[in-house]
Amino acid sequence: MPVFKTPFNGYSVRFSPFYESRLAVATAQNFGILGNGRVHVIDLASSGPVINELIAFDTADGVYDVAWSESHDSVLVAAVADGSMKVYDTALPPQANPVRSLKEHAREVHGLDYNPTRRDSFLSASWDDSVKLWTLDRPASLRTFREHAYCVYSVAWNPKHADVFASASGDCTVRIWDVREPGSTMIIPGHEHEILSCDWNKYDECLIATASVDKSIKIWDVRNYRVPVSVLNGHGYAVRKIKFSPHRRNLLVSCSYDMTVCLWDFMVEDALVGRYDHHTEFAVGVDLSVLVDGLMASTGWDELVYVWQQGMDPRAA
Amino acid sequence: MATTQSPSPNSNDDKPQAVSAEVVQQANQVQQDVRPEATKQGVPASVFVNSEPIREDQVSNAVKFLSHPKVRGSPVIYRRSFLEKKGLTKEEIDEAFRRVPDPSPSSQPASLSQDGQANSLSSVQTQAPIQTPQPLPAAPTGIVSSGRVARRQFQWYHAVSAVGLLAASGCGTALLIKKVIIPKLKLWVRKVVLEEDNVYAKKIDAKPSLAEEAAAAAKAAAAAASDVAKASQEMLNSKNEERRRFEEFMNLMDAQVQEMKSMSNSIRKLEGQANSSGRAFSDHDDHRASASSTKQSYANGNVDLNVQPGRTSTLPASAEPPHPKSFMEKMEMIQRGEKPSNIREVNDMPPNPNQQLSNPRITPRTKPWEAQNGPRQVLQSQTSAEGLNQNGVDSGLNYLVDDESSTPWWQRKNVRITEIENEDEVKAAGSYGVKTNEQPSVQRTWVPPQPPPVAMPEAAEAIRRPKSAPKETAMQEQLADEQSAARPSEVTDELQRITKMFSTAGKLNKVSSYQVALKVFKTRDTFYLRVRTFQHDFVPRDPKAKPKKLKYPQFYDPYGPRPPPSDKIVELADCISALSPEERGQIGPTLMERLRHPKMQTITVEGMELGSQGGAGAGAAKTEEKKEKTTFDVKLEKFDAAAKIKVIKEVRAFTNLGLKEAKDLVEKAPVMLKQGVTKEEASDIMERIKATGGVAVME
Repeated sequence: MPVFKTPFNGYSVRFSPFYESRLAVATAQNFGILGNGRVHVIDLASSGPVINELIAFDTADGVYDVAWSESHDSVLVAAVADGSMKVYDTALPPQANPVRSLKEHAREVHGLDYNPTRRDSFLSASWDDSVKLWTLDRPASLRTFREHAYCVYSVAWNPKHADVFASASGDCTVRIWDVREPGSTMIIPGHEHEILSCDWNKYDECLIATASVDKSIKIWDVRNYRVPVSVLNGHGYAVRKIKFSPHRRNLLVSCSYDMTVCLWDFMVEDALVGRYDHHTEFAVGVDLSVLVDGLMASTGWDELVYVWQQGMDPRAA
Repeated sequence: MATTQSPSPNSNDDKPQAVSAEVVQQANQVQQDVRPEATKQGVPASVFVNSEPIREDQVSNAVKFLSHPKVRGSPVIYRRSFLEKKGLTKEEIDEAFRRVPDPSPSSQPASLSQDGQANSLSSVQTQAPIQTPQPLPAAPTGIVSSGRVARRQFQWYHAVSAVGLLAASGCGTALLIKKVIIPKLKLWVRKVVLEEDNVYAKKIDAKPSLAEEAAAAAKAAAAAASDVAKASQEMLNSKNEERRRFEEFMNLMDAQVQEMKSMSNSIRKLEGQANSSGRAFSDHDDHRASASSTKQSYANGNVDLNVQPGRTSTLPASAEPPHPKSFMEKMEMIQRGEKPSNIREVNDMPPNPNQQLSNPRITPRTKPWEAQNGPRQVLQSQTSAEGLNQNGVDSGLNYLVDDESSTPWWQRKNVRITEIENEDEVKAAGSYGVKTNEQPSVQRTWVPPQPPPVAMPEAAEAIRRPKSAPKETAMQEQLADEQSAARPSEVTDELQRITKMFSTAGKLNKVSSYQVALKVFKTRDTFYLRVRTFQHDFVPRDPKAKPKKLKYPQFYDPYGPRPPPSDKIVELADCISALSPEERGQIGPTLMERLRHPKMQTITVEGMELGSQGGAGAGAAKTEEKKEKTTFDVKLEKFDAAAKIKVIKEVRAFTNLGLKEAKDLVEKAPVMLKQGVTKEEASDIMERIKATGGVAVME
């Protein structure tokens, strides 16, 4: 399984929704505390387990997240720690990049998500307690959702309802919003500690999973959000990112500060299905490919990006 | 946290009751089954909205919390956040905020009198439960008016006290000014005046002095100043060297900068009295420059320091995971104020903020979960040109099979070739670039080597059904497709079921799904499962089958059996094909702007682009041929009205058009009849048309 070494500490990895072998990696220098950042677009070579870098973009501050556009195959958006977002187009010559710089947040932009159904808009989650809605053709945001009391760490669009999204925040709540409504439509006080990530189940639009600093992942049904459907324990430290599988209904993957990436099946009694401890630092980014069933990638502060097929050892040659 | 819910008792209460009775009532109601009641109270359209009714116990608790004096002092956002964490819904929080009584005591008698309870206590906390049983729908106006009256009184009182305070403070400040500030001012004014007098005196003295005296004095002063400057310069140099060393090790930039400033001040004074000393100036500038730059970087470090709390506060102090050593080192370094050395200045601003994004080369693919949820969604959703996305789904699932049996480094099936093949057969009907199988032939192009599906007759009938509307056609075609591919779809449906079984069993067996599919298919030879939910035409690739030899057409000729395009179009096409690739890429966006119809755009633009690019190769060859005059076109200029039928017959003979098309074509004369024929053929055609009574021209 190939490994890609980034010069800076990795923060996020995303598969491209157009090309099966393409990924984008967001990295930041000095663990993201202070320093430059870089966005790598990497490609899995068809000959042998090699990862090639197609292009890399430097930024003035660390890049915390990256998202591919669902409408343009060569466009990606990067969330930069100075509060701006940079839009890159890999089809244009490198001198023409970045194509846009969208600066409206007052603090770091920590999360990005592109709308997979409507394909034209994306959300940014920032540490200035707000979530903003953008489209690629406008330089200013369309909406600002400001209700959280602390940093918003991640946003996720509902895979079936194009107007609904959820935001996970450090004020220990997850809010569900509808872009047609002025405010949030639902508040799930999920954990007693900060919630670092949330994601919707792709096959059941009412299930949402939240990952928190209290080392647990909870699955909630929005129709009855007082009690979680399932609580997944097993990580040794805070869970940094979760992602539901786009191919299987019950599968989700999580990465944590205990340096492992875990696979869970929440409908089963013993939910932990797989555990990969290939990282030697915090594992902070994980993603499952939408186009290739079972292909997953992870990155961590050990400056490595692994891409492997579910069931195989990521460190295997 | 209480998970039970109680329906709102407000509608039941018409009179304010004692608190205890209220609580008992609520307790009784809590024990009922709440779900049916909740649903009875009106199911909202969206699942993502709170459908629970307001829970009184939660609201009363919240009101108690909000009425607490300490809570009053905190900002509203923290109060809301606390209540949200406790699990209250938005409606409940808003209700609690509404119910919290006004803080001033003057409003209490007004609201109490409304309640009709003279015995109420003056404490704020007991008011809250008394107020909660107030019926909301029964007497909202009463409460509102009492609130208003209370507020008015409140405002009056407040205003009066404010005025009094202002007056008092005004008097106080006036006294202060008189007693303290004015004497100080006087002293200062006197001092300034004295200084001015001195300066003035000096000036007066200086002016009447003779030039010589001035020159001599100036020289002496300059000499002295230069000596002093030199001495100070030396001192400066030595001191700076030392200090630079210190800077590197200790980072005492503040002290250094201050000392620099004082030095520069002293130098300036010296310079001010003398006239020369350019050297000291330049040196001093250098020092200043370095000092300012280092100060700036330090300031940057400071700014970033302030920003840090957010970045490190994601973990509670109690469960601190073991950070890597270098992380801790970096954190300490930055907290001390040092900047890590590997940071460099990067300009990441867009060079051209109005840069156009490049055109998308690939249409978006449906997501796996969208595909499984049924074709209706696919049809109705706003997908781009290839509306049915069979393309994307096909290729997506191709990879599904390949990857489950092998490493991620897949062998890509070249989808383009089959596209061309299909288009060749279908002749790209309509502006939709959809791979719709409109051909009357029943055999689908990619049916794998398997027993032919028996559902064909029905599929053929479905295809032959009259096409009423595009959507319906698409639906019918889907049906036909699905029926014709019933076997493959059944196979893949089984595949889905089996993979689900496997995954739910908790293990992810690396069973080749294709092998599974084969097994299933073999055991279910005669069994049909017409399942609507899984609509794919995809069939797994048979590893044993020989690779198909695919037939490519000689020319990509979109104008085959159709009547040839009008001259205007031909000229346009010539112009477009003569453009450079970059310019061709710009056609799409500019045309989009002109047309401004989102749905129309994507389809026509894509069609055009594909046509121009795909046909560019063939078209270029053709035009080149024409230029070299090896091929000719035949144009029908006019014809005798009497000989029309004969002309039509002739035209039909060498264009293979149907009767109606030929008739339309001929009636449109002058019109291009045939293109790209050799000279002999062209002259032959011309003769024949002449024989019938028409006039044809060769070009």
